[in-house]
Amino acid sequence: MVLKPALSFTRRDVLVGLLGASWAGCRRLPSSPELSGELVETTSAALAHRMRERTTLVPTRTEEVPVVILGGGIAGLAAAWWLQKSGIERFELLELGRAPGGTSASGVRDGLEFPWGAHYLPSPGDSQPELVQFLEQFGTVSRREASGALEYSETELCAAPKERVYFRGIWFEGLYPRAGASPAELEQLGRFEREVDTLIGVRGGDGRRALALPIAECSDDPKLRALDELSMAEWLDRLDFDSPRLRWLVDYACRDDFGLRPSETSAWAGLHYFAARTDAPDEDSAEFLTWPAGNGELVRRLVKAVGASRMHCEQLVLGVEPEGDGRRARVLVLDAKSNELRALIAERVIYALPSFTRRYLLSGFENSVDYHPPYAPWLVANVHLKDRPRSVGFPTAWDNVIYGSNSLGYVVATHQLHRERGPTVWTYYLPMADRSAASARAQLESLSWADASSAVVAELASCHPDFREHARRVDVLKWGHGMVRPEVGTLFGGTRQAAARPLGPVHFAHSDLSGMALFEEAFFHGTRAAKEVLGGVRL
Amino acid sequence: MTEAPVHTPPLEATAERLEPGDSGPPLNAAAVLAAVFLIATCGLIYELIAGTLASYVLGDSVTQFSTVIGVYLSAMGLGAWLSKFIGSGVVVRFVEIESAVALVGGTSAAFLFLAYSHLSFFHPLLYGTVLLIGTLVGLEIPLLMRILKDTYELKDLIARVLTVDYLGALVASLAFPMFLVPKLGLVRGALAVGILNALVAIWSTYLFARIVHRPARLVLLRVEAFFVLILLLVGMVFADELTALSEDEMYPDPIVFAETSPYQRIVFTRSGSQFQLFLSSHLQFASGDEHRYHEALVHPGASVAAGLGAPLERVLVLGGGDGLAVREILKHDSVRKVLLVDLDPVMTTLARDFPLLAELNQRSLHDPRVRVTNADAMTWLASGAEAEGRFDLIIIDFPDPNSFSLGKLYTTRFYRLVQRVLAENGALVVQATSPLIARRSYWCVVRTISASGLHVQPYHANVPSFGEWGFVLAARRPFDPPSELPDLELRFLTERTMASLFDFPRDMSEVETEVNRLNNQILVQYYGAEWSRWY
Ligand SMILES: Cc1cc2nc3c(=O)[nH]c(=O)nc-3n(C[C@H](O)[C@H](O)[C@H](O)COP(=O)(O)OP(=O)(O)OC[C@H]3O[C@@H](n4cnc5c(N)ncnc54)[C@H](O)[C@@H]3O)c2cc1C
Repeated sequence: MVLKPALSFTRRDVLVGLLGASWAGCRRLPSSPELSGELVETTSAALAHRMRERTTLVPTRTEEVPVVILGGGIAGLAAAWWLQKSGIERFELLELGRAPGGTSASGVRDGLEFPWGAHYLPSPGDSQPELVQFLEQFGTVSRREASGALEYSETELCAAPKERVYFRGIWFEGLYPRAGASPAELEQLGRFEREVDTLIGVRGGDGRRALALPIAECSDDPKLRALDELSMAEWLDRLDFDSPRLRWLVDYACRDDFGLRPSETSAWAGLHYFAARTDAPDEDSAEFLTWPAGNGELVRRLVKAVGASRMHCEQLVLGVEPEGDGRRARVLVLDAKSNELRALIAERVIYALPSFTRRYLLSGFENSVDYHPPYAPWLVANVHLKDRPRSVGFPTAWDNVIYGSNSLGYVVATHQLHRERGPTVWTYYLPMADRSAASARAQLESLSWADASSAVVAELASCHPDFREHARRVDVLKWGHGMVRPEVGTLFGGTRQAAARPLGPVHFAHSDLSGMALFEEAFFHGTRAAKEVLGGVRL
Repeated sequence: MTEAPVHTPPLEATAERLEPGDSGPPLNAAAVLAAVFLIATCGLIYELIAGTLASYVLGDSVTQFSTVIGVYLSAMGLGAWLSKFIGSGVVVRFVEIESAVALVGGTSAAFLFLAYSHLSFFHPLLYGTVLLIGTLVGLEIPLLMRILKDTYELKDLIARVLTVDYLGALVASLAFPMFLVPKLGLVRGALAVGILNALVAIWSTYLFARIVHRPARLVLLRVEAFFVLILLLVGMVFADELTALSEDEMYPDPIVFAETSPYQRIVFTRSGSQFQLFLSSHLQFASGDEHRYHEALVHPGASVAAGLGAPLERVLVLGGGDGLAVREILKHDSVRKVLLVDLDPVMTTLARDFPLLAELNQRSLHDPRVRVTNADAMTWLASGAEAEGRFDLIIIDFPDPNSFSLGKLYTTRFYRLVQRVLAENGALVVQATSPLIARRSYWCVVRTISASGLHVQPYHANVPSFGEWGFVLAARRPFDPPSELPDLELRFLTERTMASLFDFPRDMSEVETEVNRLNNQILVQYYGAEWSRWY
């Protein structure tokens, strides 16, 4: 009796586990010949785990710093930007990673840039004045003299063609595959769009918009918030939306923005995705801003504006506690380069770390809130190609989505460079949406580079006949806590709101305080926390 | 849980029997489902082949492609609807249709490649073939469902057939890019799928033998199907000869030279003393009347630049790798430097060294004042162009905006980049497709140039081998249409002719359009829609 080679067996399991059941019938398992690549880490995972061990070490040095920002993701960087703009000179930012950026990190290889996480920002309107101000500072947006309307730079708005979808062997323009859709399906799409349009215009009893950005500005009206008690799938059921294509579109949207399936996504969050980026019914929704490095470009600009000298990387924050009478705080931090432990005594701390760390790092504060929302794990791969693979149907767009796949497809990192030939980088996104956050995280952690890259190659080769001839390298990054998951009932329970309130000298800022991982929310919380600091102390 | 097949015939079935007098034993259901599976797989592959063929031969011209798929899908609907007119003899019809699908679908790729040679009616042929295959494929499943009706209960029948149909589609969409195209290519791939259909036809004559009224009919059907099978097998053997044959037929005149560069297919054809250049099968010029085009492209702009006070010493040409615009530019004695930026080194080398062309452009690229740079104009302008200084006259002569990669060269962004190298008193000219055939496209280019901050004067000229052709003149300062021409040994333009070019008759006059920007590429849409109306 001949046994199947164990490796190919597990490899297929991995493929099915990652990409879905349709791969179960795949006989010949794709190998990835001559492909190089590696598992990439933006922060050292081993180091990060030390956060969970209460340290008994005694700091070798104690310093006094007026303001300390913990975390150099968008929230921390936005806080730093606001402080710097407001004339505050003396503050320090501590970041665990090798470079600032967090989940908006990016990379560069052979002269080509690519995102590792966030890759676009919907162009903001006047409801987000601080963000507009930041974008103005770098010339991304200017105000028309006559009308005062915002005008975005043509080179930073996502160039056409923006999206296409691979459906039954062919690429089609747009996200919704219209080809062959029955009149009944198209009618449902139209009805769905009208429902969303209505929601765009809805205001609560308090006069505020139902679904807007930032989320803190949305109406408190309990009637609207009741949507959070419903899953997106239930909302669709209630309105008799059963068209498979429409259901797929919503499924894609939930996985894209939240790393969740509609059956678990809060309907409030799901509808927010569709409605919040449009100012008024009948208006077009905001266009996207994007760059080769994705939102890594915005990271670079924030770092530039603030000054790299104020940022300290490879610093692991190990604890935050009240100092003395509790009007100041004491931050314990390990310098991973020198292995030196420092204590910082600060007038004010901006805590821009993900909230799940609170339970390990905060101690000694009264009324401390244990906010520990679920996070979706994500797998991101950057595929380096010698030249552009051929497509059947609509030509390569910025966002290339695969109908019915577990992945979100890929984004072309060189899209904004307008080069149709030569080397390029495709950023492939796979949210691990199908299980509980914890078991998905375990699955992700156990994944080897070989397994992950062969799944990526298998899927991309299935929609480009000559993909293998062009692919050179696949690098893979695993985000264990990629995005906060807005599961049903998590948004308006009260814990999230309470977690955003200051604890003595500690002010909180992270996108997860909004329950949704969005650049806008990270930026909002960063600047809000900075304003709290400025209002509260004279420095 | 799926229910077990129900063998008692449902009510309806007693009313309409498959074949008169039939009351044979039930069919081998698994075998029929296997046939459904094969049919579904083949059906989707034909759709993919039609789509792929359309995007290969028509370039990434977006609208054409979606129309092909649209036609295929509606034809399938048509087929399904037509199936209700088939009253009796369902099995016989089914086998006939299988053979027909095998024949038409199997030879479709070869046929269309050959037909592509006859440029003038390729489109009707393409759509006709797609319509035919789609209709035939649309007939298959409804007929099979009727054949199976006695074997399953309706609900169960639909569920099973749809599942198998879906599986077939899934397999097709994986097999097509992973196996069929890379291993067999389109022509052989189509033949192979046709062979599958022919085998299904032959197999069905055995499978349904028991329920057919007149077995003699079956033998005839079987012979038919075998005949198709053999035809397709022969096709497999001679597929290479077939594809080689097709290119020579693509052009109205004999090919005298052909080369494929990484960017395009370059073909020269010749008849008598005349010759033509085709780039990726679009006519670039015909030697008989290209002087009209190139004189109109260069001299009005030169006059405006001179009128505005530019010394007309430094000239930039973007596109125009054939060297013909440069020939016209060099007629102006004041010119000291011409920089030609063209994407394709193969093209500019031919313009310099291929005798036929070098003679026509009067060896313009050998002139010491001329320098050639091979680069994508947009990339070149965005990085490093300013080191070349500013130009008194800029001639922009790109292929028409039929794809996003060309459409970007007609955006406000592009014209703003161009302005960075345009002298204060300089002028620029843009070839802007036909204002007659693609009226909205033409005026969109005019509007876009003016939205980029330049003053414009639109004009047009008649070039018989192209038709009525449009250009746009632009400068930083307001200016009037040019009225003076230096004495240059021209064959087309006089001062009076030139003045008349700036007048637009009613059927080409200005229409409302949007501005073409990188983030909307609206021009590609206009252009696709307008040209597909004519060709
Ligand atoms: C794959 C992926 C794709 C995304 N795509 C988009 C997108 O296209 N558009 C969009 O708007 N959003 C996107 N997001 C959401 C993205 O998370 C937000 O846009 C934003 O970057 C969140 O910033 P933040 O500052 O709130 O959080 P984080 O990015 O989580 O920043 C927290 C920082 O704290 C640091 N840190 C953690 N623990 C410690 C410690 N103990 N000591 C020191 N430092 C520590 C981390 O290293 C990190 O830099 C994406 C997210 C992922 C994972």
